Amino acid sequence: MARTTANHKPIIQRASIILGAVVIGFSLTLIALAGYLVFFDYRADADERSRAGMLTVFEAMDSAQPENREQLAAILTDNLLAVEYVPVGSPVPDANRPELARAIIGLLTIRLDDTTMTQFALSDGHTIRIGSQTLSGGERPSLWITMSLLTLLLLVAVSLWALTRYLSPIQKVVDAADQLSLERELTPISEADGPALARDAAKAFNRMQSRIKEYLRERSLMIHALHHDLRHGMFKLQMRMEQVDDPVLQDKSVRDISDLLEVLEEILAFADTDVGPDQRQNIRINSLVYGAIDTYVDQGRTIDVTLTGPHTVFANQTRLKRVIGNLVGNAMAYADCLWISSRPTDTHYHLIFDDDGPGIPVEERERMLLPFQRMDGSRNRASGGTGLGLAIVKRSIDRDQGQLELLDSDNGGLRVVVSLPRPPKS
Amino acid sequence: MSDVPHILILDDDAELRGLLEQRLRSHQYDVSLAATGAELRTIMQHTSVDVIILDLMLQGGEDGLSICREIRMGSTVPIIMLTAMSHEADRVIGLEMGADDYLTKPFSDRELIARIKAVLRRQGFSATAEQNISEGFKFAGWTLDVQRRELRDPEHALVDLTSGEFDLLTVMAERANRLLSRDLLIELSKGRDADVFDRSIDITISRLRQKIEDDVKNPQFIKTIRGKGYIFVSDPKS
Repeated sequence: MARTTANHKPIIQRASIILGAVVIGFSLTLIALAGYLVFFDYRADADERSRAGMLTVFEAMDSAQPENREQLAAILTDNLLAVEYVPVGSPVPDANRPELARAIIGLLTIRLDDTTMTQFALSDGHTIRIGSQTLSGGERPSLWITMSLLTLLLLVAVSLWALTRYLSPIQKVVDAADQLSLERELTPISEADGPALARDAAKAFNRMQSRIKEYLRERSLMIHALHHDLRHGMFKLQMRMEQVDDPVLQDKSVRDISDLLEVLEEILAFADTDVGPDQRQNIRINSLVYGAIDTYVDQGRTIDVTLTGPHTVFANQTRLKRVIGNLVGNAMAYADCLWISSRPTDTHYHLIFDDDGPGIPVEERERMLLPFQRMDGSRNRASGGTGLGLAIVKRSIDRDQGQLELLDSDNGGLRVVVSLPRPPKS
Repeated sequence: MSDVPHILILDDDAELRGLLEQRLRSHQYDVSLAATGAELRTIMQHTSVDVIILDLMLQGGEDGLSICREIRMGSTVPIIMLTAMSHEADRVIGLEMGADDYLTKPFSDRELIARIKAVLRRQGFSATAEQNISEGFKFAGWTLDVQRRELRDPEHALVDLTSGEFDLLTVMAERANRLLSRDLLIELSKGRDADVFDRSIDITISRLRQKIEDDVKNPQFIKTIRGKGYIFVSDPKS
């Protein structure tokens, strides 16, 4: 159960971003369309229709009898054109006049809101006035846009609601999956929310959740029972060996027993990185560092410790003790000298281990954090350790919400940086 | 207490009981064995017991912790708890249930004898300084919890100490602000942990300083009196 911190945005947030993008895209298209209608198509169309209408009106009025013209003008007036007959002045027939009128009409630019009447002389000398009407139809495009936008908004609201309804149960599954651990009480997610598919997913997740918990609990019990019984048995073995008269046999046996016990401890520690109690508290990390180096210093090994306070971190004592013990032990196994320093910040305490050993090649570093891995790839105990050391370190630090980095040391060997959270501000 | 201390062992493993008995007898202790809580109660009713060695994990529905608590309700006899657990939490629970000390299996002959001597010696002290020992100490915001065997700083942060360091700090805190000669400190703190036999008191002092002093070169709590010994200052004025 790797406890990688989920780094994704919540599903609903992501869905909203996608939906937002779609809405913006759609709106832009709509505005372009509206612009096209308002500023180009509609106007040109109206213009063309007015011009054609004017021509027809002129021809009709020209060929009509003067006494019918007034009535005709009323008939011809519609929502596009206004027509007026002006039976004044002294009519002088002129066959060329219609040509002139046609030419003028061809040149007219008609604007939507232009209500100016243009005068034309008919071939018998009488005058008509034709103008475009104030177009009540001019409001139609904006009404259409309003309607469309309203529909669009409604559509967006409905989709957002539907999306939330569909996705929030899935978000709950995601959250619950991230939080699954033996430590917390089993918290089943609601099996009654959302559509059928989401309800099924929730049910399946809850079943899986309890199976995993059961499995973890059993594994923890099994390892602890094994640990207890083996320790007990080896203790008896050790006591019996202490009664043996042959000192060489006694020595070797006692050493083997203590090696086996160390393996047992490592396996238990590894299991506990997952299922052990959380129990984090404020710890003076410097006391753990000094505690870990004592034995090596007594043996005359070179370990330089320069720690800067404040030294308090928020972690699990048993796990942190092993982390520091393993890192010091590794350095002492592979290098001659070890330098331990620290850099506390507001939020974290960075503990830095530098050694002058052979280091770990960059391409090997990730693999070395996996359980049962050794540098030479062998599973041979003669090369030292269980192959669990760094895996325990990595997992313990993950569990304590810290970070582990393997780097190159300025001293030629490996640099290990452990970053642990400082105590929560009260 | 008679001249030969009487040790009572409660363990459900017959062979282990036998092996422990052999060891203790070879060190001239008087030994009684019990396989169950009932046997233990019978023995305690009929003879006086100086130290009880109690296995934490017993088969057959009995649990070392509740037996430990039960003994503690009626008696102050020192209890050494045996455990195969290595969790700090288990250790602390055992100590809270009234055990005086604990040993993690496996342990050597020497460790066992050292612990027995230490609890016997402490039992001797407690006749005179009983209150202090049961309550623990506070100094300049620090807490030394003798029962849980824990030291915490003013921020309530746990300070990891070895048994030897803890015992030395305890005997110094019991005699705060008084000059303590090296010989007296060795006499008072030796016995519990093999560490103190092997290392000089000065090394243990310097390791304690590393863990509790802000500036090791200018210690506030543990002051050296050249040629005479040390003083533990419980209320340093900085």
